Amino acid sequence: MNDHLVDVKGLCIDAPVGRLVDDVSFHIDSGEALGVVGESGSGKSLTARALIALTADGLRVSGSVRVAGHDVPGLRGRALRQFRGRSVGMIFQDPRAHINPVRSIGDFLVEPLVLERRQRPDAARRRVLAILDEVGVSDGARRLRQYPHELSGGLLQRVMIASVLAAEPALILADEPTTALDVTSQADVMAILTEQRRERGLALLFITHDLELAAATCDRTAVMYAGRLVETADSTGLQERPGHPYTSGLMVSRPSIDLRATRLPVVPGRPVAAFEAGPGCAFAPRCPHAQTACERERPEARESGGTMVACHRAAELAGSLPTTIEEVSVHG
Amino acid sequence: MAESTLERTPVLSVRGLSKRFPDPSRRGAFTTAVDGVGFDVAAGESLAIVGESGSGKTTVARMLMGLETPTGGEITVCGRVRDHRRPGRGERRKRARELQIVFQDPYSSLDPRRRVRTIVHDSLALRGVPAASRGAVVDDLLEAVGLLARHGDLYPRQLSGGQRQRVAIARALALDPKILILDEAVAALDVSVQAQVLNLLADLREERGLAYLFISHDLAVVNQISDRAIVLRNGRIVEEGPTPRLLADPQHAYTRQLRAAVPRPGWVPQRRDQPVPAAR
Amino acid sequence: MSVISPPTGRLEAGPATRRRTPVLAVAARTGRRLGASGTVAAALLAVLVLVAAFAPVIAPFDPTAPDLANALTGPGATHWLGTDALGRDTLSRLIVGSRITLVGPILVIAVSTAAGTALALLAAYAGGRVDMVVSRVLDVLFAVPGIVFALVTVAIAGPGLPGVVIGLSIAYTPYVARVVRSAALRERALPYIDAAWVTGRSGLSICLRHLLPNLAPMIMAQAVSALGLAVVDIAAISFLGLGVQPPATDWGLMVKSGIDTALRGYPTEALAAAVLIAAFVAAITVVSDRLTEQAGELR
Ligand SMILES: Nc1ncnc2c1ncn2[C@@H]1O[C@H](COP(=O)(O)OP(=O)(O)OP(=O)(O)O)[C@@H](O)[C@H]1O
Ligand SMILES: Nc1ncnc2c1ncn2[C@@H]1O[C@H](COP(=O)(O)OP(=O)(O)OP(=O)(O)O)[C@@H](O)[C@H]1O
Ligand SMILES: [Mg+2]
Ligand SMILES: [Mg+2]
Repeated sequence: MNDHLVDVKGLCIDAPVGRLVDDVSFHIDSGEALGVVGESGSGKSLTARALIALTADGLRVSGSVRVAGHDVPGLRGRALRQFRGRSVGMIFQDPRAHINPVRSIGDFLVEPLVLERRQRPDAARRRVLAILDEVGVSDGARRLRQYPHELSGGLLQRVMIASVLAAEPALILADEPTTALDVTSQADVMAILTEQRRERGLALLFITHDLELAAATCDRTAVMYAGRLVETADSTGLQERPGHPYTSGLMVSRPSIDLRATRLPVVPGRPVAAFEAGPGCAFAPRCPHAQTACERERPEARESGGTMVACHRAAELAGSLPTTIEEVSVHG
Repeated sequence: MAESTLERTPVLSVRGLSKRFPDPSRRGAFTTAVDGVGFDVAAGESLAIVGESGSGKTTVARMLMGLETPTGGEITVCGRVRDHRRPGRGERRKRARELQIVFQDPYSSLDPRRRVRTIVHDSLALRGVPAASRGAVVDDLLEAVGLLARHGDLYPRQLSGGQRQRVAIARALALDPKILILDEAVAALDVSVQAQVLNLLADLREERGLAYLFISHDLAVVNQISDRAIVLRNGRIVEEGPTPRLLADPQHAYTRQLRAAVPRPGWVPQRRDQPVPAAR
Repeated sequence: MSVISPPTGRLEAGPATRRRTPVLAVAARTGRRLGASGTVAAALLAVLVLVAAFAPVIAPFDPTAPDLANALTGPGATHWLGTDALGRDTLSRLIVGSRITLVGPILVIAVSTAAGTALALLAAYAGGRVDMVVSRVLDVLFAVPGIVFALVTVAIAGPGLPGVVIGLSIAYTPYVARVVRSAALRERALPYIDAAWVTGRSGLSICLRHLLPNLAPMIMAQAVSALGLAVVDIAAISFLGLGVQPPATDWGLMVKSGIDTALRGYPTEALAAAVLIAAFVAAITVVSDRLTEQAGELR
């Protein structure tokens, strides 16, 4: 069972205030994309950062995290730096915060190849130009001379992707790479990521709070709530037959472009952090199907046929949870 | 919802609105952010402005609020033509009763040092509500936006994003405006909270006969909240019409592109700069 | 049956508030925020203020009464820090001198902070031409060293504290105004200020009720750090003999008179005054650093 590129088992992250990520397990194979969906504060970024041992000081990480054959929590010093630089690339929500504003795009892209990969400057430059072209940055030679503030958010995000691709990692962690972009730039960036992933056989961990976006661009989708994974399933399956009431809630409360509801069905309340949740199911206080057992006892993650659902009532509810506003308004 | 809005008198009427900014990179040069935009908003109507980043949506909103001076065109609000000078306090108070705005970022649009109650209270004082009745009105407003009286004693940093956005809406409603401008007002909210706020906006509109100018690049949200929409590109209107028609049967290529970019089941992301790849 | 529970449009309860905090708790929290070095420094400053307040009571001798019989003694049982050339008790003179040493800089900072903040808010809020004019004037003032201003006002008003305070207040104003203006510009660009503007608040009210309270922590931190500079500047002017005039004294003047006695083999006065000035400034610097960190963390 250890042949997955990424294999996370029982990952927990604790802060002095309490638990932030609770017993998270998932795996990603080469060439596969896993979407992680959840609302603000659910622990998506923390989970992604644990994959490259980049959690902040003061947080305690436990559980097993294996990436490309490395036991990540055990990596130290040089080995850790090499692992971060060679095996994994990370793309962030705000590219501007992660690119030095006073260095040119050319410096940003070419320098790591020359310094870390020991490539010749002109060879590195040619390679960077080729990658820029692939990610749809036209007129690469001119772009290399420009500075970050001269580029729009969408263009800068592509530069960020190019810099990650240039390092030829086996895994890309993309933490809400399109949240700061408008829909058309988002479509561009997602198309490029998908294209490159398929061509290069990369594994992708794609974090977003947009379930439809994750499901449309990833092979499998994991839904996170209050630091726990509540459902992991094949993306099409998840969209057609959500197994967890929260997944269904996310799907129906999102407005649709084809259909207008008089009122949107809402999930009442607001998302909570893991340590704010009671002893039972963290979603129980907001769940329309909650029963007494849900409030008392943590539901275990139950697997069947590659689908994982953590819900006491999963078996009863299977197939009956709505997926569109339409169903809700028809039934209601 | 309002179907025959076009016959009603507009509460907001915009003609040939333009804005040029000095170009920071080239001395003496200008960039045109808004270029000859015109539209009407009828009482109680909800009009959406859609367009990609940089298309000039926020600039239109800021000009309507008087926060930016137009370089051309005419704005008529509630039958009064706006002159383009920077308004003094008296004029601003008068305008505040006509037009209010809710900003995108729920974190920087509330004064961090004022309690929720004070924030709403301030608006009531500026509207001239007698001091004796303000307390009761604050409670009513907080309730109207789905907050508890208890929330009034909190500072903005103690509230979630959705709660903050409700405070911003209450602050605007306290002035009893005819039109509310919402500039990406739900964009920063979580999906579940976004739905709550969208429902709230629908309720408020029904109860108070408010008109909305709803600015967004998210066509799904626009579909939910607006009767009519205008599509802005590089500061110009490229298409306009009733929202359902616009989304079901977009005429302009740009509108089709915007529509195609909305994720939905079965959606495949496509690059603008390349021919559509073969479906896989 | 609606599968998702009915839309209530109401959010669940947020975190509870704590309205009133006992004084002790406030003190404890302040202590925690200042950290160990900050607490020590703050305590030192508090002691200094107390000493200055009760100086006449604490001072063991009359600081101005000459006692030629005991002139120029080293530290001893009666005169702990010895006496000067006129036989005046050095310790008493240090204690009483603390008053002017403290009051001078505080006046300078109070006046320059008030004036600088007012100019900064005016420039940042009005923007455009007003900002340009104010900024130019500040730039010109900024180019003149503080001491030069003080020397000019002293030349006009005659030697003594009033001339020095007026001169340094003018000199410090552009310094304060510059720092506050750039912070105010950042604050003014935030949407909550636009929101206040479109609800019809007057410019003055926006400055006083929104900008000022939000800038206050930063202005405080900045004032405390400038206080250290003012202490040094006033001491320097006193050292030149243009500040406080004998028989009144401050530590700067005592360094000067102490140097004469030091040359005759009694360095205690100059040393003690210099050490006190240094300790005072160091304590101010530590506290101001902590305040600045906090001002940054507030949001
Ligand atoms: N260093 C830290 N110390 C304490 N708590 C932390 C720390 N980092 C994150 N948290 C908390 O952990 C929870 C999860 O954070 P995380 O950043 O993973 O959320 P997220 O799912 O990425 O949310 P978003 O969509 O807002 O980015 C949050 O409640 C956050 O406040
Ligand atoms: N104060 C300003 N000075 C110079 N240029 C400006 C200024 N404000 C806006 N612009 C320019 O005007 C154009 C329109 O900007 P605007 O903010 O109105 O776009 P938008 O449609 O609201 O975009 P977004 O979706 O990113 O908010 C942009 O090209 C922007 O760079
Ligand atoms: Mg995150
Ligand atoms: Mg905008």
